[in-house]
Amino acid sequence: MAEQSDVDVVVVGAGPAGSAAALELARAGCDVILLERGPFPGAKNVYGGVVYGRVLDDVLPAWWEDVPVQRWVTRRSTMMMTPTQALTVDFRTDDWGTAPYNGMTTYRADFDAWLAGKAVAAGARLVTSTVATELLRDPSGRVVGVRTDRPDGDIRAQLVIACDGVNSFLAKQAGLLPDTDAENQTLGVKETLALPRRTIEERFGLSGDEGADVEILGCTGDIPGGGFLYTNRETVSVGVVLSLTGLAKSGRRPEEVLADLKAHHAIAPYLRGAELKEYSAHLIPEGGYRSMPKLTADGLLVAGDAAAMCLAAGIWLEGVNFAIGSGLAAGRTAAEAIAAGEVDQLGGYRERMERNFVLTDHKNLRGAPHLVLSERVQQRYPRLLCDFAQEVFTVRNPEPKPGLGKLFRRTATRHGLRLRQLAADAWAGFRVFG
Amino acid sequence: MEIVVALGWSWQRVAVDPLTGGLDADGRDRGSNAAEQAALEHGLRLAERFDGRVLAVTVGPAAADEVLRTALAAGAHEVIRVDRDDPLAPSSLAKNGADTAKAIASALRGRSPDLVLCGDRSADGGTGTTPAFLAARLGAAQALGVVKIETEGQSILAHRRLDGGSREVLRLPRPAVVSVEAAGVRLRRASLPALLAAQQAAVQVIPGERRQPGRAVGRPHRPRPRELPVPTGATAHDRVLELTGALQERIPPTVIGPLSAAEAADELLDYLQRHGYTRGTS
Amino acid sequence: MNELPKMLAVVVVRAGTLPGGADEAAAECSGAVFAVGTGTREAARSFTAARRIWTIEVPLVAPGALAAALAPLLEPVDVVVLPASPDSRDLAARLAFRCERPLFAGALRCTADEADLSRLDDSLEVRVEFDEPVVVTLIPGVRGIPQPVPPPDPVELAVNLPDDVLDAELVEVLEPEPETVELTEAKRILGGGAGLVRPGDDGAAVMRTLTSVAAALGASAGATRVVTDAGWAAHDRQIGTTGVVVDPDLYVAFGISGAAQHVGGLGRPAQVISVNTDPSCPMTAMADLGIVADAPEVLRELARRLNGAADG
Ligand SMILES: Cc1cc2nc3c(=O)[nH]c(=O)nc-3n(C[C@H](O)[C@H](O)[C@H](O)COP(=O)(O)OP(=O)(O)OC[C@H]3O[C@@H](n4cnc5c(N)ncnc54)[C@H](O)[C@@H]3O)c2cc1C
Ligand SMILES: Cc1cc2nc3c(=O)[nH]c(=O)nc-3n(C[C@H](O)[C@H](O)[C@H](O)COP(=O)(O)OP(=O)(O)OC[C@H]3O[C@@H](n4cnc5c(N)ncnc54)[C@H](O)[C@@H]3O)c2cc1C
Ligand SMILES: Nc1ncnc2c1ncn2[C@@H]1O[C@H](COP(=O)(O)O)[C@@H](O)[C@H]1O
Repeated sequence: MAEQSDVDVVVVGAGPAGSAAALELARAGCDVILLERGPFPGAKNVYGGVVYGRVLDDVLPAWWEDVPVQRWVTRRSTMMMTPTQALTVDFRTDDWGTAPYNGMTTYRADFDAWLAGKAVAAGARLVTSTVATELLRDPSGRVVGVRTDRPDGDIRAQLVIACDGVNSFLAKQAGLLPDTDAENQTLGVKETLALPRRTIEERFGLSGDEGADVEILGCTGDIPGGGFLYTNRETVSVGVVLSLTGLAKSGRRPEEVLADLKAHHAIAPYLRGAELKEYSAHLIPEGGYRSMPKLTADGLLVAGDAAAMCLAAGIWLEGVNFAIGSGLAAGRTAAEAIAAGEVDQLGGYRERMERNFVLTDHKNLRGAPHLVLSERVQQRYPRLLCDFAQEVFTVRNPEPKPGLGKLFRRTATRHGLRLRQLAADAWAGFRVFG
Repeated sequence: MEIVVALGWSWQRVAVDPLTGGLDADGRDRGSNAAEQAALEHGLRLAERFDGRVLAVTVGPAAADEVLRTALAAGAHEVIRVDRDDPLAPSSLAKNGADTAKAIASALRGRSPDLVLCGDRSADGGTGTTPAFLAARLGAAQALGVVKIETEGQSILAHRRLDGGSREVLRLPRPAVVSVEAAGVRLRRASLPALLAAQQAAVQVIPGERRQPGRAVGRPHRPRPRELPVPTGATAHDRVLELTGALQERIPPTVIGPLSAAEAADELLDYLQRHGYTRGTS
Repeated sequence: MNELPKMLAVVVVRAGTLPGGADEAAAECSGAVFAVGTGTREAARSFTAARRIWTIEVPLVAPGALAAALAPLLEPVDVVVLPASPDSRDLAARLAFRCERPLFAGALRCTADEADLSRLDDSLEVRVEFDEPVVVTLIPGVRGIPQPVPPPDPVELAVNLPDDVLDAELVEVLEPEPETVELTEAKRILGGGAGLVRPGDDGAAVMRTLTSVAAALGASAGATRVVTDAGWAAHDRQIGTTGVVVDPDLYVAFGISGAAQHVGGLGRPAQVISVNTDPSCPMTAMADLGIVADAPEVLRELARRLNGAADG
């Protein structure tokens, strides 16, 4: 350390990743500044709506007692649709409706502020309405702090943790991320719509603080992507996630795609009479394991969406828990390195995540983004399955019912899919998800 | 020169249920508004000009310390919070500023400020009455709705709006209470070290009186029917025609749309054409 | 003096001119009014809703001293109503303090027993009942004025302004700037509100476009307070009770919700057009033609057609 540092660590971005990192550091007794550009953490952060909190069990025991929850997800549906059909696999369990719970819907403005509050209570210093504009480096190129947009705004630190979200400006500056990465990004657009609490419960078959999570395939026309519908206490969130390159090729506007989903006969009845509260859009790093940048540079660690930690694999869209998981790992690694006086030893960060779910899941599911966004999964299978279901359930008396096997083969052929291909995809799917 | 700046702690955006009049606001969306921040900036500038000190005061709950820390970070020398929390309810919105003025004055006991700067009005239904009550209570002169502050030698001049677009220029004696509009100045951006220091600073808190919850009922706003002159026609028939406007050529009010921009422009220009507002100056 | 009514309007007059809302305040009090200030005799002649007028001439309009002088006179009056114009607003709180009464500011309606106050940018109405003598300010432009009646002969009252009350010293009154005059006299006005500027857009540029479109239609451009507060237009463009009071024949409102404080400064235009995405906002409700459309886009389209270019 040539120069004096103002603080041990500066964490940039008070999203889930940054607050988790700051929490770990503060608990380990480090002097940490958590920088956030918004007026408060979560002020402008956008996501779909479901957080899986298991990752918090060790750090914040019984977190569910004071987390700002909207509803506990007890019902999970996967819907495949064509413009006129929908086939749903619907699962519900009472187990997810009691502690320790599984998933919850929560607003980011509430959740991010809550998690940052935990970091502050542990001793982190939160600085809002302040943007990190540049990495500070010493002559050797080592990162030694950040510059902010305030007067006298340089902060020198032993380590910097970049948690500034997708398209991370800091990771790019450090040369860890390419300047553009449209291939590996999707655009999420979402509407929050207000409905009376009772109406939501009646339409979605919920009571008390139970919530529903509907993931949708085949709702984005010829643009690779997917959709979702989540229940909050007095609003529902409906959105689509669209491949950037597909979107550009289609010439359509994301609002149109979302409008089509909202008008679909399987969705519209849930939303009837709802009043638009908010429209938002945000990028998602969806490349997964294969698109991940290098996770550290000299003096710098990268966590959360900034390091493409979001797991987006069709029936899963989990970014917040992975952001927290990687944030905790980065914070712990940094704290240990500082305690040991070896701030250049950051290898523990990756190792830690390879041992827990963060990189294990990513590695196991590394093929998922590709498969899920493939034309067959996007277009043909939803159509095939919907048509098949329609054939099975259409009664054609006086004709007798055809055998199911025959029916399936016939439907598959009509959709131009050969059984060999189906088997291959099934195997690929098994390998990706199994 | 002793300068006091009164920073409000109000809801910046309140949603009103159009059917029930129920109120809803995000607790995080509380703070001081642009006018109050402009007041602080004026205060800081005058303190620099006259070698004075700035005391920032707020009347609010513990969370309101935040506006005081912001003030400290921007350069205020001292802060006091009068502890009081007003629920978001019609009775607090009906408030006249008398109670708040009293609370602010209680923070100034034993001091003799030369100038008290306020915002023109607070965000949550404020009516800009607090500063006048404060002036009355402090025995100070007042200048409300000020859009510009100048100095001339040792004196301070305030420009304020009058009716019909004229303005009046007032020379402020001491003490004076001034309420400013958000015009012209923006609060300076605090430096990072000042911001960090302000986080650690202790805020002096004095107890405030609880407000009496007055009797007040809220409901969604409905425009008041305007009173019309009595018809003057000589016969009953004429008067009926006059009141109903039956024979007057009048297009009934219409609402059309949603329209695209081009359709809307067509409708608008067409309407202007029909009513004789064609191009050309009037 | 013992014949003062239970409800009385107090109107602050400057140099013989009545402020906005003077007649409405008088009408709300069945025509009983105190005209206080400078040039009160002359001003008394311009009331159209007064049935009994008392004038109180003072050498200068100074709220602190005026309040002290008026307070004893108003003792028998239960409900004192002032128009919410700048001078009366100044005086109202000082009076309430002197008389130890509550002040209910920003009323839409006031009777001897209760008032409806406008709050939260006119989206909420709060009804308060009076259980003691009160001071009320009434928002101009909301009530309307009844059939004009010739002003009665005023009764002159004399007061002494105390000299131990501190007031600011008047240096000068600046006449309205030419810009403002142009707006007050304009027969056609295009108004821009918060809905005309999309988040992130350059509001000042949008207002310049509005000005050029207005010019092409022989009109002037005005704005709401949200727009002027944001610095997108100069403050002398603000139409309303705390801005410029105008009286055009045609008013075209772009993205304006129609808050009482704005409409209160509008006079009585013969034709009102409102371009707004919300079909039920007050501005559209009061318009002759309500167009539900995206105001920024419509303005851009108009600019294209009328000026051949969109510079917004
Ligand atoms: C439409 C959509 C739906 C989604 N649905 C879900 C879902 O249902 N469940 C789920 O788990 N995940 C979901 N995700 C993914 C999830 O939102 C992200 O993975 C997660 O937010 C990543 O957290 P983070 O802390 O890394 O980054 P972010 O949440 O993006 O936080 C970054 C923070 O850094 C701040 N910041 C950025 N730059 C700077 C700077 N220069 N200086 C200071 N501060 C800065 C930002 O203001 C922000 O607060 C969804 C995403 C989208 C877009
Ligand atoms: C004491 C006091 C004095 C005041 N004095 C004045 C005054 O003199 N003058 C004044 O103007 N105000 C005054 N106000 C403020 C007034 O109460 C209102 O806040 C203000 O007039 C609202 O301005 P607005 O209509 O531009 O904004 P808003 O009320 O925010 O309305 C915006 C409108 O735009 C519409 N909109 C949004 N997006 C679009 C779109 N894309 N296309 C079309 N429409 C859209 C919305 O539906 C809404 O109707 C005063 C307030 C107080 C308390
Ligand atoms: N709770 C408060 N604490 C401090 N100052 C206040 C408070 N409420 C109002 N003020 C001041 O009085 C001004 C006018 O407020 P109001 O009378 O509520 O419209 C505000 O802009 C503030 O400067």
